Amino acid sequence: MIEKFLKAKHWQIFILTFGLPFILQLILMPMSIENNPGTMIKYMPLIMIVFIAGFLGWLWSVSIGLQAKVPADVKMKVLKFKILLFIPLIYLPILFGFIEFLPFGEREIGQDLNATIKIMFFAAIFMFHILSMFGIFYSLYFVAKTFKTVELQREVTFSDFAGEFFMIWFFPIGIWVIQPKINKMIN
Amino acid sequence: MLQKSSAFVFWISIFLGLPILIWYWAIGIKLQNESFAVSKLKILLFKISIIFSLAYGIFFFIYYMILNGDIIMSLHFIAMISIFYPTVFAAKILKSAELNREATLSDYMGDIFLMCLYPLGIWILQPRIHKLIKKEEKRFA
Repeated sequence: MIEKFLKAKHWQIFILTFGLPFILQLILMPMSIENNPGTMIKYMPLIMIVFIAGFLGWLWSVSIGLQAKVPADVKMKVLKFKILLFIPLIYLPILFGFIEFLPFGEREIGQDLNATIKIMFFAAIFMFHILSMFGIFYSLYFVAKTFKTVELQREVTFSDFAGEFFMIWFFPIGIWVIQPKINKMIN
Repeated sequence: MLQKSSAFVFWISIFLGLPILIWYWAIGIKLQNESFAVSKLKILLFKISIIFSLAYGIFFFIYYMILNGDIIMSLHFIAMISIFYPTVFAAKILKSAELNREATLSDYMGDIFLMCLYPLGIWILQPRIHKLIKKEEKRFA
């Protein structure tokens, strides 16, 4: 998988992470307006899984795949990155899988649950949401850092790779610049 | 504006907004060097877009906020473009001055983001500008 992501052309990654979810959304919009808004929520996990698989898969492949080219005297915190990337990877599918059954709102499901369980649900979601936000931000940071370290072959500071950090953050735009450079690094 | 500290540029542009355009102007005009020739048309476009954005910013405040006027779509749309163009131009000039050659889009794409998100970008770009100015001074001394 890592090889495939690293060797993929920029437009392939763009279609996987942006084009495909975009088209799915275009199909879903009229469907949910014609029938009922629930359709959107029902099929949302599908869109999210396509996006998550592409985006997190790319982040993972770049930072793990490029570790071999990092100079020996630079220490990278790979384990911390792996742990923090896995938090959103596990949490988001679970959230989107069970979003219909959450005991909030005026629906029939969960109305008979007592307040303590509802608060516990809320606290768990709140905590994991913040954690996975942090996880994704750390992954962006780590990937940008790895990328720049390999490019410059020395220890880098944030001011060196701030540009790359934002390019990965604004993924659909940045990928057009980052991916060709990664292709070149691999060869 | 270029010699000022990062904190000065940050606070003045956070509170007033419009001074960031003067900062773009200073980068776009003063950091040009002999590394490559910028076409006169582009410089003119850069200057016009900054002046237009500044004028529209003041007009916006008076017309919409004080006089409660209706929105003028075409002017607003032109202002949107003309507030974006200086960031691209300034990023290109800055990167070219650093690399001593004409920078390509893939070189200065990151800098465009830093220019657009200026509350964060100033802290990274301003030290780089200071370094550049110091280098220039050393060369001429």
